[in-house]
Amino acid sequence: MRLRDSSEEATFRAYVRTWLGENLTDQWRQDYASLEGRERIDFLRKWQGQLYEAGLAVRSWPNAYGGKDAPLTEDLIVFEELANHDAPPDVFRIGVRIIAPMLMKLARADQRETYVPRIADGRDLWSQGFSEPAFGSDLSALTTRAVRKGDKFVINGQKVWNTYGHLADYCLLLARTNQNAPPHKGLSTFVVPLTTKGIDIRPLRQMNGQQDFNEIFFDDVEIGEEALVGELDGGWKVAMTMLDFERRGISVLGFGCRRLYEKLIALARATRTRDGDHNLIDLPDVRENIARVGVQARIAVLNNHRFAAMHSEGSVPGPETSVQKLHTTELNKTMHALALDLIGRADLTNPQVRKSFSSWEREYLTSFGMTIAGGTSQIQRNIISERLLGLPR
Amino acid sequence: MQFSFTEDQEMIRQSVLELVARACPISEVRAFGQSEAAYSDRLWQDLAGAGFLGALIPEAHGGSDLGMLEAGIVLEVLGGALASVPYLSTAVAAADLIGRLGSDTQKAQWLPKIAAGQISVAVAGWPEAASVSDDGQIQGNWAPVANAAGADLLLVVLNDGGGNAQVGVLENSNADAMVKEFPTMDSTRRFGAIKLTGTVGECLEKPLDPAGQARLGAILAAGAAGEMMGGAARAMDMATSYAKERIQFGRPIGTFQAIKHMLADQLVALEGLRSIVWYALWSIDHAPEEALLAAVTAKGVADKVVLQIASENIQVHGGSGFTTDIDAHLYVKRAQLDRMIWGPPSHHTDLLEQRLAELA
Repeated sequence: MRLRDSSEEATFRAYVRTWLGENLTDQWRQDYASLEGRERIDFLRKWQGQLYEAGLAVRSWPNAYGGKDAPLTEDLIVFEELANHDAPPDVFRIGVRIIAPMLMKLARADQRETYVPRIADGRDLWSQGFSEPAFGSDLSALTTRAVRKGDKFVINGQKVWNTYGHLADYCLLLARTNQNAPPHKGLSTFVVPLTTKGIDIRPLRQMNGQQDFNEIFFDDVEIGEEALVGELDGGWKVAMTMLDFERRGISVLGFGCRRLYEKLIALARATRTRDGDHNLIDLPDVRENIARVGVQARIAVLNNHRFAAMHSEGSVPGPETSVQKLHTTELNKTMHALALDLIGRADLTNPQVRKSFSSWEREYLTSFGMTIAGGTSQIQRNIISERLLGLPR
Repeated sequence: MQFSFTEDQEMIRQSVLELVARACPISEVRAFGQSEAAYSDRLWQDLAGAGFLGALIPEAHGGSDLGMLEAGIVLEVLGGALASVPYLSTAVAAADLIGRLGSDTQKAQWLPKIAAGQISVAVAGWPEAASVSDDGQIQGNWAPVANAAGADLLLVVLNDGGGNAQVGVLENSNADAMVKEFPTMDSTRRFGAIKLTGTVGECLEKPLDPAGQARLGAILAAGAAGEMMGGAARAMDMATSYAKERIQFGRPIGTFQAIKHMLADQLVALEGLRSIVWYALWSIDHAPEEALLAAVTAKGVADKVVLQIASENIQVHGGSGFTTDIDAHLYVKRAQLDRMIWGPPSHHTDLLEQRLAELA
């Protein structure tokens, strides 16, 4: 057991810190904040390209796909430092952390060579077409159909909760190819370019004011049979592999929770009570509440390292990622709720406090999405109890 | 970072598990509750024979010179078996104090006996040390103290008001040390009430400086958390097995999400506890400046999580869980006593908040 950086890791971490210090400048943050929609995404494509050039974007990937064959611990260092430096949201995570690892494991050689390098450096933005209006948690019952017609498949149906689809280049689609098989044995996955004729993408407005999600309508959309990923009717395995990778990606939130803990302390230090007599940090109940979430944030970071050591043999992350997903997304929600409680005790007529309130408000609202996306907290509890504890279905 | 055990450490765990399964089956725990014994001598002797009582004792004094993580592995297995042995106070805290602060004579006198399973030791004086007046009179009362009744030796932290403390060594025959049995609901261990009066007698040669006091606090808190964690894992296993077997409404109760989700939350809490406890145990030997905070954090988490899991185990077992036919009650009783000793929950919360105030 070594709960410290080795000298190689420390050298690498110093490099990451220096690089982020030089590249995540105030000017960069201002430019980023001034952009919206497609312009913001194009700005982030460049950022992904810079991370890639610096050897940080896909460090643990094989050399052949643009990685450095580095141990997973170096990826964790990158995640940790990105969180510590308040890096922008990782819009490429779906391609980089979910779809590309799945392609490297399950796709044909020509598909891997075509798509994976372009995901790594931000040239292509990918989205995922899994959930449907009537089938969210109960995914295997989905009804979007892909029917073979000669050397093509014809797709009809509707997808929802498709993140960044309105800006993305591709969608990794899960559709029904066999009506007669049991629900999860009749599904297949396809690569669908989002410029294909017959696709209609409609953004949804979220409770945090953003528009990341979309509905996608497929109306007689034709794609070549070479778009199939994995086996025909073998889509459930592809989808499950992606969900496992997704949970590992989302659990990077552990580092975010620790950063959030630091921000809560800073908030409580800087904020006066309404009567102006105290800083919030002086109040015993404030300290107790911050200490309580701080302990859980510490645990989240330690869990990240311990679970990473379990996967370091290069295996697909298993159901234990559900433990992290459930723990960190619920904690993230609790911590944001605490932030609003703290601000509620301050003088909101003060313009500075009010500004801080607005930004915490937005983050608070965003935290609700995380206990739903990638499998709700309730689905995570099902996975944990069935796959880790062996309870009957 | 490499947050995993070495092969040697995994082998130690395997070997302690086998030893404890043999020497401390649940029948032994139940029998202990009906007996007058101070501790389970059969298990104690087996632990000595396998070298585990010398985990923190140098080879020159008959020990196996392992480390705090290895001692923590032993404690976790002992806690899981509800074992009645004074491992934390004797083989961990006392061995560490005597090894660090004792004179050559004191080390030679006590360490080989600890390693060989010939004596048991109780530790008093943390977190509240005994006070020593200007004319050398000791005042101190502690209860409940684990394994105090019937201990051969008492180590007492004596605070004279300065930065350093002394560690007094009292043999149980000493008339100034009054140890009385302190009956509790936890029948898996003996507790004592200690009342000290009189003058300072023999002390360990070197004083317990502030770093040493922090180390002692860390060892006791992290060690107790490790032992408690073993109990929680067993209680969760019991509840999980029962949920798979017990049929109601024509199906195992483990198919109901009310049960499933309760157990899933237990596993999340237990995995978090594992991370923080192992980090605390590791830090004692490898990052001493972080150890006390890590250890009280671990104890604070254990205080909450272990009681929760032990309590829900009774709930999952329903009516039978409320009887003594099922051993679920033993885990709750032990968890409650563990919360009270080695620094109660409020102590750990206070330390954490104090630390937060320092950050502020």
